Amino acid sequence: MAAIGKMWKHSTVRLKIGFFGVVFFLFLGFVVYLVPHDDPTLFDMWNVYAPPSRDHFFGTTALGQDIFWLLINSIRNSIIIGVIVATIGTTVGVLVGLTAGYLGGKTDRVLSAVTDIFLVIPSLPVLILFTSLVQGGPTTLLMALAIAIFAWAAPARQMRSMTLSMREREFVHTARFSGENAFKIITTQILPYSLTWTLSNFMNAVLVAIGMEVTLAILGLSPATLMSLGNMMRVAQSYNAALLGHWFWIGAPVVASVFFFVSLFMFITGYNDYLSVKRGR
Amino acid sequence: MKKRILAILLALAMAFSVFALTACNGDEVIPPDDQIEDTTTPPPDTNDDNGDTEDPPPPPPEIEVGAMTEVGTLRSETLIVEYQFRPGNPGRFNPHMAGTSRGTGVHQFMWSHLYEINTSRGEQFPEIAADFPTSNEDFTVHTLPIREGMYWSDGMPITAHDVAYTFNLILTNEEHVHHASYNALLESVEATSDFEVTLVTNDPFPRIAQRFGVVLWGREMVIAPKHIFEAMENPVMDEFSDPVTSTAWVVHSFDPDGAWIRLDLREDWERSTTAVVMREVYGITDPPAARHIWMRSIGDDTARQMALINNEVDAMVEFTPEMMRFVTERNPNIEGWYGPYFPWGTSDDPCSKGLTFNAGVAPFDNPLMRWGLVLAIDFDEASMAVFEGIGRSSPLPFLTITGAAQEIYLRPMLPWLEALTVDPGDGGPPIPVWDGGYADRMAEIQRARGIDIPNDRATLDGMFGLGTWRYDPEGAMRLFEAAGLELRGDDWFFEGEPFVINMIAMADAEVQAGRTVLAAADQFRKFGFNVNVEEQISATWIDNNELGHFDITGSWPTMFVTQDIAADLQAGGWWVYEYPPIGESHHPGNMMRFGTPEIAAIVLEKQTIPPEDPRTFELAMEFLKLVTEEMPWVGFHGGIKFCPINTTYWTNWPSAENNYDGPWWWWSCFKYIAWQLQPTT
Amino acid sequence: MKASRYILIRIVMWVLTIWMGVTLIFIIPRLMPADPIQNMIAMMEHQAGPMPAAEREAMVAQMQRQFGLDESLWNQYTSFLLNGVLRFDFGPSLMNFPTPARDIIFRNLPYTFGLMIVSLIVSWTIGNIIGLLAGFRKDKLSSKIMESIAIFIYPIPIFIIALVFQIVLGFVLGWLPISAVIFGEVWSAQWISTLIRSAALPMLTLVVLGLGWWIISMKALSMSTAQEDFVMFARYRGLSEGEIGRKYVLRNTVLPQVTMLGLSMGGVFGGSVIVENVFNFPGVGRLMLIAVGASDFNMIMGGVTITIIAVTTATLIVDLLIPFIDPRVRRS
Repeated sequence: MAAIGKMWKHSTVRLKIGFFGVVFFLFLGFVVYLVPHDDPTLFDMWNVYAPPSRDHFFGTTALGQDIFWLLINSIRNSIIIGVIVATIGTTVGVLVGLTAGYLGGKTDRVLSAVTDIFLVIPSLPVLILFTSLVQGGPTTLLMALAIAIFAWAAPARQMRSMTLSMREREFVHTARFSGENAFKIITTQILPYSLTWTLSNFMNAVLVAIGMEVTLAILGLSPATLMSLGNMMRVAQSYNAALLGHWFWIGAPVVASVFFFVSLFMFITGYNDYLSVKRGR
Repeated sequence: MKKRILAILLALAMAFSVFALTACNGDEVIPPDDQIEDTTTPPPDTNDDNGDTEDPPPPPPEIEVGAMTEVGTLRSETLIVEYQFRPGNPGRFNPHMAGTSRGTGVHQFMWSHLYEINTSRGEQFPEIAADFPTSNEDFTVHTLPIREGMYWSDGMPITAHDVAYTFNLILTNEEHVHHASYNALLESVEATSDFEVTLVTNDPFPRIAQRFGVVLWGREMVIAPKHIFEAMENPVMDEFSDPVTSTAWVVHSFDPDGAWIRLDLREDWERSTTAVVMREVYGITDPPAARHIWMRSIGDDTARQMALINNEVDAMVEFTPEMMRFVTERNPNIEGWYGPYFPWGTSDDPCSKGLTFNAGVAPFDNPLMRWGLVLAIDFDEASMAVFEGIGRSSPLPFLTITGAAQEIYLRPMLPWLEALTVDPGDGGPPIPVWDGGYADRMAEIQRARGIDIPNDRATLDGMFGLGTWRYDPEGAMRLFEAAGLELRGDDWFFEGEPFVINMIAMADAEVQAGRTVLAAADQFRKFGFNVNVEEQISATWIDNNELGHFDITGSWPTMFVTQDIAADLQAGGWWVYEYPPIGESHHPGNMMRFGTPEIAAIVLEKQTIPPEDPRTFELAMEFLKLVTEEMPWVGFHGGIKFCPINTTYWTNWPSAENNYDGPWWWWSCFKYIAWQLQPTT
Repeated sequence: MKASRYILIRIVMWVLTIWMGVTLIFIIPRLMPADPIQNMIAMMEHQAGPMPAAEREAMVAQMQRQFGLDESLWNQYTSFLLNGVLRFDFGPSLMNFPTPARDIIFRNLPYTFGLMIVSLIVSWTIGNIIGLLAGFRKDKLSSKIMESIAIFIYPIPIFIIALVFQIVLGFVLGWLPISAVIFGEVWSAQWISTLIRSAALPMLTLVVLGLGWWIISMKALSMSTAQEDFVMFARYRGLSEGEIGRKYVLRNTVLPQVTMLGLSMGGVFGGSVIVENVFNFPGVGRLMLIAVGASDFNMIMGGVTITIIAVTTATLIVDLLIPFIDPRVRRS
């Protein structure tokens, strides 16, 4: 508890704003979501384009669907996709980076080369190819896996440089000289320390993943029946929402994504600042 | 100090632009939502005749006299039409080379065919041919008269030798795409005189005009200039970029990237096939007022709407009703098929859309199951979800509900339909299925939304159809149970397993079909089923259709090309009744994997009867009744096309009131429509 | 390390990256059992009406021969590497049969690259200048404003930015064309002027998008550099702020930003795909989306391969510039 209090005292305004933003969206996507509500995907053709009211906080779409609940579901699904991708990506990346940084030598060179390759390859064309060919339409899991193919490279690189610098630290030297094996050193000394940075990588991966999901959805390459922020924008546009002035419908997912990304971003950079201050840099 | 000022200025500039962008998002452009008071109706249609709108319509745009287009022509003499899609090979104008894009100004304004189609009359008319062919008794030898007085754009006459040459090119050149199929049909083709061609077919074939002339959008049988093609090294591989045309127009220039093409009226236009046909068939001898045709690609949907509103385009293809609503509100000169008013679109496109059941998968192989699903759909609500209730109802399997089809087949069937029932065999009364009240109900629904719908029967029949299938949830329940489904609590089970309906639709393209599937899925969910819907990219969707990997798909195996539907049945594979297992391609055959020996017999018999024989119509009726009882495919609406036109520069467009043809800017018959347009200046 | 060694390593990495990317592209479609020929025929039927069975079979056989899909997997792989990567021969485009996919891709590629490179240079330059100033003078209000604006612009989905520009500048104000209309012989005056007018809005969109990121990253970088000891020392020595900015902060921050420039190519390409779509700009991104819709297998493969090669090469070129900027690399 005391540790958290200390963290709070030292964190910047930016970190605080970001933190609250992220928590707010998590709250929307996972707590508000639990409030019993009708399935927002069902059409209600007798109540289309309704303005905001007590029954429908943001009004309804061209198909009579409740915009507010569509938004909540979309936030939730987008976050879930982001988390899946980030989990896979960060786990793989951390493993690769640790191995490369600690073992050094040939292993490092090979792993670093592979990491750099995946950093440079532009992900969108490959994803376009992938999603355009998936038999039976891309499922959410499949799309998340596809995005994850590229999500591990950045964390791996970061982890590697962390490991490299840590390897030379005193306490690691001591551990090695006192005969502890590599695995134990990694898990007991390096890993706990670098986990703090891993959080930053994780959040960044979430940010990139959701961004990629929105891009794919807008291009029509995301599973169309998945309620996500990108798909909500796409469907609204296919009903000409922007030109017809249906601001709540097209605006809700746009504003939500902007604020969510901004919060994530502020959290990440604020957290990075906090960590570097802690490191005494 | 200087840096500080610079920094502050930059910051201010950025802040200003951000605010400007978000703030001036066009209060002037987009009507605000505050017109709505009633939560149950959408904003009143500002084209309401009662005139009780809050924003007066914007004044008609002014025409700048003497304005020039970007391609160097007078705007008042130029017809600007949108491309259906951008051609992949701009500059390839050879009809006999694979990959030539046709609907991009090419088959409309450069090529002519033996026979052309007029959809409002529902009949072909001879184009290069002078008349329909005469055949011998067993329909193996056919004589085709060719029109006289037609000349290529380089001055050479168009004769039977060109026709024979073209046929023989396909028959002898192995690289031609249609080489195999033409050889399967034809034994020989010869020009017996300058204006007569004789075809000999391998088998009795009473439908020469339908097979080798245009019945829909276009035809591979485009007559090529013998004197030019003969001189090519390989006529099937020559781009023909500087083409000699048979029509009244020639290519002036085109964008090498495929963004546009400009065609100009030939100087000797009276000697073209188009002019000769206009004179002989339509009785018109004046030249077309549109001396220049500029076809172009516009961009994404937002750009397209704005271009139309700005009078930069005269005719466009494929809008959605939401887009129609926007453009007709912003520019009073923009119209759809019914003028600037609801329903904006024609229901005469040759493919009705609906749901294809997979008769190769249980329980969808049971007609009781299929009928159950049909009766579980509240068509009023589903129709609202597709295109806001727009569209003529198209209930029968296979039959596309064009105006002609509705009169020839559906109307005489009404007594039979009204008496039709489905018997679940559970001891209770048989279930009646027909509902003739759809048109009146839908008219009321639209009137409640503030839209003016006329009262006369003819308009209502044309706009909304003659009827649809009933919404009968209790009847549906009985049918599902008779088909072997069990309801345990809130969940449906089949053969002991939880029952899920798997539906697939093509993503993006063919909006109507996609929305139809989604609307149906919504209905089934409301009924209580667990439905899994996937929108798939075309490659995958087409594949899954072929292999039978679906329970219900949004494909459209519907036609009404020829009045006796014989050719359509043949092409649609309705003569097949044995199918390979799921996972293997169904060819030949149809997507529903459906057929019976009786139906096969009908289809095959029709092939041997000429189209004028009344027996073929009797057989067609029999066929329709048989498939309706089986219900392997249920129709929602006819093929609805929203093809807006802009009357700022050109009028006399085909429309519901002026029904001299259909809104087919991308079909080869567009040349005859373009000829008849009148300038406003 | 030596410059020559650095260059060598970069080139080896370039080859490996392309190889890996190309292998990925090769494997992915073969993991999915979608038959391109059946799809193409289905597309043809969709557009021109159904074909009788005999015709269909004849067509399938004809195409199988032409596309060489009857070879073993290894043969296909090697021929893909040899033909596709080395000679850019991806076979004929299915939608524009039999024009080689390569021809169409290369016709469109310069437009995408022109757009990407110009917008990248503009946004990088302006973004870095603003970021540098913001970071250097981090306590000023102007700096905070600029950074806040950047933070807000950066996460806006690019298609919204494009849409806003299209509606406001193209439609409401009518200053620029709603969609790209390029006329005239290539390199003629009319062509150049219509190109510039058509590319203006797409470019503006990409610049605005990129600007956010460059401002933010440069600000962070210049801020941390500005706090370094040597900067403070320079201040004590009496150097003016301007000189410090130019000689110390700028020089040290440019290098990482140039590295980032190389890595950002992929992201900019992604933005370009959407922007080309919205404005109908005739680039490779738009082409690939059309190919996906038409299931033009060869075109998709070709487009993706060439894009990967092009972006990787661009990254390489940027990386090769680094020895000229970073004295540490030059000095061995």
